[in-house]
Amino acid sequence: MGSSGNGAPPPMGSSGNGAPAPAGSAAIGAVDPVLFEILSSRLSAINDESAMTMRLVSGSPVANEAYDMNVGLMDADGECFAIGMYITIHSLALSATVKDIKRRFADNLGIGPGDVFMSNDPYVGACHQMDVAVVAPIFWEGELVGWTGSTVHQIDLGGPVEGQVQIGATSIWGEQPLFPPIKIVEAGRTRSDVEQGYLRRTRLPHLVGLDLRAMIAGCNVGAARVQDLIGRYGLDTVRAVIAGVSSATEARFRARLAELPDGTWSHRGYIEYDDVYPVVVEMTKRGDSLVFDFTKSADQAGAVINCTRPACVGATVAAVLPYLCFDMAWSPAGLQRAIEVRTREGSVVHAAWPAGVSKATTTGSFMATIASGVCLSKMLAATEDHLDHFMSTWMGGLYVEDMFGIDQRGNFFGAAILDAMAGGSGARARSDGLDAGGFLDSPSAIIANIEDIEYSYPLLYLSRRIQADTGGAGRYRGGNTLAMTYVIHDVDELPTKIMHAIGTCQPGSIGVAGAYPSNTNQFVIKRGTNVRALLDGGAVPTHIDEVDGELEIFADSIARTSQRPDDVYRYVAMGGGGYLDPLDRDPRRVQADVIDGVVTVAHAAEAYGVVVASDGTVDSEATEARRAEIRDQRRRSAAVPAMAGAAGA
Amino acid sequence: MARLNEQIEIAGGGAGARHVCRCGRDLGPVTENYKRHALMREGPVQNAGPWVDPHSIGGDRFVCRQFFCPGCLTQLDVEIAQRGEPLLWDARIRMPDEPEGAEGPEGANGPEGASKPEGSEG
Repeated sequence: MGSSGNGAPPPMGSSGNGAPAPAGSAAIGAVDPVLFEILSSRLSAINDESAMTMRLVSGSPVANEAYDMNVGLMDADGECFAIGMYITIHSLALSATVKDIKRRFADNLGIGPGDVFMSNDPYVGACHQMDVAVVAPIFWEGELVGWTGSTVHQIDLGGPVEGQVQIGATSIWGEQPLFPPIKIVEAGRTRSDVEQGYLRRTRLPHLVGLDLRAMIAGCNVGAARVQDLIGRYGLDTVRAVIAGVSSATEARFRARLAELPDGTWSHRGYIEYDDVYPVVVEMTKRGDSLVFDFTKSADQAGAVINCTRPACVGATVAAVLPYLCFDMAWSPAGLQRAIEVRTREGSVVHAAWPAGVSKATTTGSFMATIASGVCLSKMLAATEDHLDHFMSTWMGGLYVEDMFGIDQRGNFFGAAILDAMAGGSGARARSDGLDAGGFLDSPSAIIANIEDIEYSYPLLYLSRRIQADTGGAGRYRGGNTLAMTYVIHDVDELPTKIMHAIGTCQPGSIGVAGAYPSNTNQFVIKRGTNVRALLDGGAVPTHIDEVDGELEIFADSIARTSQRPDDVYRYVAMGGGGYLDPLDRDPRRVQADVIDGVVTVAHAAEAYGVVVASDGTVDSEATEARRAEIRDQRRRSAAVPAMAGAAGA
Repeated sequence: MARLNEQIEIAGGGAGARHVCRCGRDLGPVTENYKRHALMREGPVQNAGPWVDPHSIGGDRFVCRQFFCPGCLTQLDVEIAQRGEPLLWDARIRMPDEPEGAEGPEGANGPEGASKPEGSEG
């Protein structure tokens, strides 16, 4: 894994070929086009440096190893004109937080040079309570000229249940404590009373405290570098560039939309919880604007799985960025001028107070991104001109495991295992999705090295590998995902193990234009196995079927349990969706997949109708017969809904 | 030529435009969901792939709907739905010369008002 496969965007303001963007050239006003390119690229580099600073200061593997974080730069009004290349929805939430701070602090405490604010309040702007936002104003000669912001996903912020998922909560009162925007640093001095109040609530004060310092450091670096830029080029010039970046992005984005067909695309995604909660979106494109209408989504749950409206808006933009903005500056402010997001208060994607949202980024807002992405992919499939930019559905349900206990050194620890971020990517129009390609929300998604995880936590991985047949079958198949098995190591028990996902009963990564979806998320534990005896004997079982024991299958999408030394745990993350009918796949591609071990012989015959012999060759005659047989099955087993009088659209 | 995707093109214009499979088979007017004019097979969600809910923890709540061209039998779409939900009208191209108000039924894609679609188990 590594890059998303669709490539990180070029520096802000760039046309992608080194020349200024024609569509945005009018927007940069009096600034020399060459200088505009230099300064807009510099602003992008400042974001990169802020993010690097945050990673280096943070002690959390979430930031260091899995990059579950991001940064952003905003103008004086809080409009975000540049985001970092990490988890995009993090940065998209910063703008709402800044706007709230400007209202809240204008007359009481004030906003001054050297101040830094923090918040984890989703009803203000945070994606969910765990994604703490830290923002700082940027002043120049006493005048507020912009804001810098950073976020890192926290492993624990208190609440009745360890970690992210507040099992059993019926409202936000049963979830993690909320921090509406508070001033954590005043005139350059950290307010220790506020810091202590914040850290008092978490089970992991040292880790959370270091992350707080890391976010503050990221903001400080960003602010200092912007001030350096103003000192060198002048405030008027930098302001013009900031305004120009957003305007240029808006112009380029609208031009792209104008090239695409008008129409309406719809998708229903699902969140499994105490019931099934559909997230329904209808995306209508007319001319040079987009409307995402989520109003038909399910009513909200009491807690846990909802997201607030700011998170839904951010999630929608997070889908637009990789599908349509791959060659322009990622300026949310510019994009949002051409995008309208409609939501219904009281729904699962627009929670009404006091509904809980503790798991929002892997439920409500995550599915809003996926559903929006499905619509965007189908719009791209509707024109030959943009088919090269088509991507089928990326990993449509993120699995996370939170764990807490005593580690191999005798210390209390908490962790969020994020290996499942290496899901499969969606198929492209003329190539397969990437195996373990990452996920749509982050151009820089990575997962931790096994050795780092084993060093930090009392775990011993037996395997982590590409799981065959998990990518959606298609003429171009979706990327396969990872499967992992591990046992606990050097401890007597892992007492708290919370496994949570959506897409456990249905695959979120649907296929497009006749392709199949991916697999579903799966987690099981085989209890009381002979794994220790096998390891003591020098054998390393790498598959759960290679150990004897009693298989425990978890029926719910959220499960809390424990793990003992003889228990073997396995989970399978989610792959990507395919593109077009798999019976049209070139048999040679199927053969290559079988040889590579990413498609089994059985799946080749069942889904692709390709018969691969034991020597690895394709039996052409048998393949032709098998494909004819599948088509005949289709004819005999199906009926036309309109002829049968079925209701529906 | 306008199209939904590489498999389904749109022939004609205005309100009279029609979905057409690449094999030439008519799939209904653009003002209707092409799926209603395709062959449909509805079965357990496990039909979607070998690693789809292999332990059946979702019971029979979700189904896999496969849509095929009645002419060439190419698979046109695979839809995952809750049992009894209306067919999803997933793609609707607006023709340049199409009159306003020809978009078809409102609310067809909502979760409410579900009715059980017909079709044989696969």
